[in-house]
Amino acid sequence: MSNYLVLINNLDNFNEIKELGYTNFLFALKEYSIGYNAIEVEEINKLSGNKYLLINRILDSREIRLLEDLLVSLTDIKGLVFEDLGILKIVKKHNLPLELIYFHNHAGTNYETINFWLNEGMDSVLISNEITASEINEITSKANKPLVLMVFGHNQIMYSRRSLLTNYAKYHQIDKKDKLALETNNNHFIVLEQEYGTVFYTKNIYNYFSLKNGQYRFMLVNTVLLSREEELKVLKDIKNEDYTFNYLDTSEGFLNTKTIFKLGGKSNE
Amino acid sequence: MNKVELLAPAGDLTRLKIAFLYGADAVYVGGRDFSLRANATNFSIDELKEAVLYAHSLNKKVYVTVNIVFHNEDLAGLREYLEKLANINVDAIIVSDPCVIKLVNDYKIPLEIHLSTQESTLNDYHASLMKDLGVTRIVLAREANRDTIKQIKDTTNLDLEAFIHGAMCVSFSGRCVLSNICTNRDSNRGGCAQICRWDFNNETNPQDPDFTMTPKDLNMIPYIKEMIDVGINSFKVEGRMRSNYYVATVINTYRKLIDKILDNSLTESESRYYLAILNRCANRESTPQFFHELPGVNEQYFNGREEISNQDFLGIVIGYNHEKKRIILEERNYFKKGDVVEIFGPNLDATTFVIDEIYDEDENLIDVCRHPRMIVEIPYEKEVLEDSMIRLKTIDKKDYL
Repeated sequence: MSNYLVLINNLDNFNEIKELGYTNFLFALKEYSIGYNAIEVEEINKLSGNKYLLINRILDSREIRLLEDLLVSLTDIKGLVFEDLGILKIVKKHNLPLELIYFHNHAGTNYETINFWLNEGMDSVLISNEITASEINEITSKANKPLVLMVFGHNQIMYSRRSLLTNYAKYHQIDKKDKLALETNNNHFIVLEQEYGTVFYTKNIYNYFSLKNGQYRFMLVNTVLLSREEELKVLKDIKNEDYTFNYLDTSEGFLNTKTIFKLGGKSNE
Repeated sequence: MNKVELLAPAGDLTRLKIAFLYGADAVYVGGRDFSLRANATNFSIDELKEAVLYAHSLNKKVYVTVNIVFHNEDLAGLREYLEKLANINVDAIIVSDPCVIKLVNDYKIPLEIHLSTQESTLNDYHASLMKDLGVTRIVLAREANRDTIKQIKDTTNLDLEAFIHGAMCVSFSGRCVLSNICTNRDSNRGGCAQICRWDFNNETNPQDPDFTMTPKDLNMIPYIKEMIDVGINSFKVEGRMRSNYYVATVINTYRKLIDKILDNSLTESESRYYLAILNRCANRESTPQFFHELPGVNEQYFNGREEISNQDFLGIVIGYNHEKKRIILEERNYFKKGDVVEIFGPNLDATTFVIDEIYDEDENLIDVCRHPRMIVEIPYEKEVLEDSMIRLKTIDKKDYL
């Protein structure tokens, strides 16, 4: 179980998850993450295990200074899983002894870029799960260090700084919800609004266990949006090497689906 | 006050020339590969070369977007392309994916690097990191507010570029793949299908209205002076897929506004007049966003938004008949004898006149001009320059005085 990194969605499950044999845990950091059940650093400090902090917000200059103060005071945290590149600069500035995992799901789409960040001080990089299996395999084989792949989880596919659910409710004068299920053209989404913006998730869960192997730094199991019972069941199934998850709505995402972007356009020359 | 740059979009050579004529100091353009807006006309290498030569002859600049997020398969040919851009002396490339920075640095390709807004740079630590990597200018996240811009400027002293006008992503730039999910078109490689403009059924409460999230367009007219004061160097207009008329109107308006700010002569009423011109031109409402406060309910469109396409743009001047003192006009939209119109152009403030006579190419007097691209002549005493434009008069400056 040592090459799994488990995002803890329900803190109440933590001890049971540990008892299943998982050793690496990811906690969404309060104030600095979006779209997750965020946890205060003081709470995280009380827990044992290899603890990583998820920091997936894009931060302004004031906020990143507050984060800097927090980062230099951390003890017993093994690493950071983060999106804002300013954090790399802070960690370098203070020479902080933290494992750094770059977590920008839409950007880890080619091996040159990933190697660039590995060379600039990242210890690992999240491979995008919005590319095909063959692209992922090529990246993995050409990367200079082991990478992280999210093998399970709802995919966060849009991040806005706007309070979209508040604005929607206000305009239509309806009760405001912090979470909505939406559909367009038979595409289904779950939308969450939190203090620092709004995120869209796919309603289905991406199951990338077909790519499971031992060469990743971590296979990320992202239990966001799962109930306490679902979270435990998923982690038990993974321990038992049962990756079907029939009780959930899963898909293979982009594993076999190549995106397009030019509709009959011309090339250079 | 600092000298500032007005930066215009240019989807092709014609619009590039219009942008410069109407007051842009620089343009940004896309090549036919490696650029977002993959389905715009964009520029071949030969066209880029022509664009650069033309711009440099005017002492102006051309920046080339190389701003897709690359997949493995896109890497082939990138180095050669960058070397070609360097050889034709483009003034900078606008980059999102650091694999481009790596190539420029590794092979010492003489290209200045501007970091695209796709990177959503919102703090000085991020900006400083990119400066260490060789970036000389940051195109700020549209979400950047006054304080964070000032902090970035004070800390890094980098050139800062900010959007001041045009369409907005609802998301942080580069942080949305709704298009990939809904249409299989890759938003971060230039295929965005603008899903944020679609309606969504509310499955949680089906009786509630459809959910929408379309942002209104951006305009920063009230804050340009403050943006100059906090250190913005380049003021960028969105819209590489917009029309000649749009580029001319928006660039002309901001040129006048910025020049008046710089010589301290801008009045409140002129600001309101310029805003009215811009809103009319785009057929959409525009508002300031993020610089002064977080956008709220008034900065979005909801159900029932009407985008009424107007036909204000009547034609473009292609010459002047000195003998008969007539404008030679290529028609764009229907107009008729008796219409009250405005002519505006390079170095020509909007001037009102009534169309008394219209002559077709055979010297026949006609009452209406109804065929796009037909050539007509209209009496006008003063010579006007080619590429001036005529629009229906819908806004009267006197109403704003």
